[in-house]
Amino acid sequence: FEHKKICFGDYESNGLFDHNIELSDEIVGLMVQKEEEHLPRDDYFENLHAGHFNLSVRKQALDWMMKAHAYFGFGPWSIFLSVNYLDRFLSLFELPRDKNWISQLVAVSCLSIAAKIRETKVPLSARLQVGTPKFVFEAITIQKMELLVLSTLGWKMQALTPCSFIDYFISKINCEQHQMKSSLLKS
Amino acid sequence: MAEEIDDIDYTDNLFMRLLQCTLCGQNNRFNYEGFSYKILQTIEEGIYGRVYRCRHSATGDIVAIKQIKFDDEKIGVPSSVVREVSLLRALQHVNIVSLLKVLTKETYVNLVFEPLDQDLSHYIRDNRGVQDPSIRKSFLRQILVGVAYCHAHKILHRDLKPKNIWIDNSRMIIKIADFGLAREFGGDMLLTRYPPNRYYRAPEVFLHCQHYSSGIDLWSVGCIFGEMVIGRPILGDTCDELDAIFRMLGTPSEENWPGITQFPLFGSYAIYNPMDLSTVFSGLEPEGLELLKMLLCLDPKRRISAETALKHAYFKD
Repeated sequence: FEHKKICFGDYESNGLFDHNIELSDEIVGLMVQKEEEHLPRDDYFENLHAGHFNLSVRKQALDWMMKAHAYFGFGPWSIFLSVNYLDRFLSLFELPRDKNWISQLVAVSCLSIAAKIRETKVPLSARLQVGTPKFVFEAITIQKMELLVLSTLGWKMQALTPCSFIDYFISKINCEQHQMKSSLLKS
Repeated sequence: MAEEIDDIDYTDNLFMRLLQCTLCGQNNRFNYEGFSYKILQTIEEGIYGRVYRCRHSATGDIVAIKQIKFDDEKIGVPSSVVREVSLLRALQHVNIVSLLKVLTKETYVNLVFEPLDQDLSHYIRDNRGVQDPSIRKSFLRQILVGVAYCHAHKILHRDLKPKNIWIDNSRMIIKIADFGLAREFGGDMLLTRYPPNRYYRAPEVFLHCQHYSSGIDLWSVGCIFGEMVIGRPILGDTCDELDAIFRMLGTPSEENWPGITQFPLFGSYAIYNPMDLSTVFSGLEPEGLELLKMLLCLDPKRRISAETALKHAYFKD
């Protein structure tokens, strides 16, 4: 996974290992529970494969989100969150099939919300629409769509992403390596 | 002022009006009841909007409703609202105010909270501090439990102050509120926006340390603890809070805060010797004073964590 690599890179370069909350097994247990509260409906992936409509909406939305994400230089969290919101929204909401602009509006809103959660600098929502998308929306329309996404997802926007678990797995790996080293020394 | 706040979630008709679609059957989580909340009293008026005390017309339940307006459509739903609501949805704890319902409207949200009686700043003003040592201890313990819970979930409150701490008067239970500035921490994030309230702001934030972490909340807890003892903000009126901090606790050196001399701003401060805190906080038990010093530790790396603070001798009874 490319994103995982990006994420590792950021962690290392910023030396952010030293924040003083360690991820215990107990907390990771809570995190897994929390992750489950922020997943698309169970039948989403089946439906995605069966119905081509959501699949094409997802693909179009994803294409644009990746471009805009790179353009603004957002961190890895923002793209993970955007995709999480997109998938959950599509799994809960039946989009009208005759509106081909809808995927773009959903994409802009999901990225905008994710940026508001994770980024320190967030562009104005209308300015977010970079990369010459086919449809460009007014700020007020984006705000309304944001509200629809937020309330459809029950305002549960603190989803966990692979980044959340990386610290824990790294500490596990380090720990095991230490144990291996020490047992090697003993032998 | 409107007399009533209706109990209707705007989303129920949003899509019909805007996008001509229907809501998913499963998705009526705000269960539209067609009732309303009668406003009993305006509890607070802030820049963001108002907090009302209301009674539900059908159930008679008393709630607090915080109404946040979206002033600027250019920014869409403000990030403070997105963060506060989503964090409150993620946090469920007896010492954190519980968000019962979110009513989404076209240009504002109504956040329906459990009823709040009084904030700690009013309590401190009316009672000249928290004079009863056992109540003071109980308040501090509950604040720390709430903060420890947030930190375990990797959430910084960033704006802890007596005004954001509410008291359930009947049971004397502390409820931490106002997560408008709260953020998740760790990971790839640099925290660059500073919390606005200067009285409870940690020294590393004044020095523009970019990688601040959970220590900033513990500093604020220390300030609140001190305020409960003396009945007013510990720094008092000052135009340079960092200078006031150093006057009270002594100007730090490389010895008790390694790396302090690296901060460009640090050079401009005079060298002070620490005051005798036992006279400043004369009403406080010795264990309490020791804990206060650990909370008001200048070096954020050596400042006590919420988890450890709860195991301190001060709470051993």
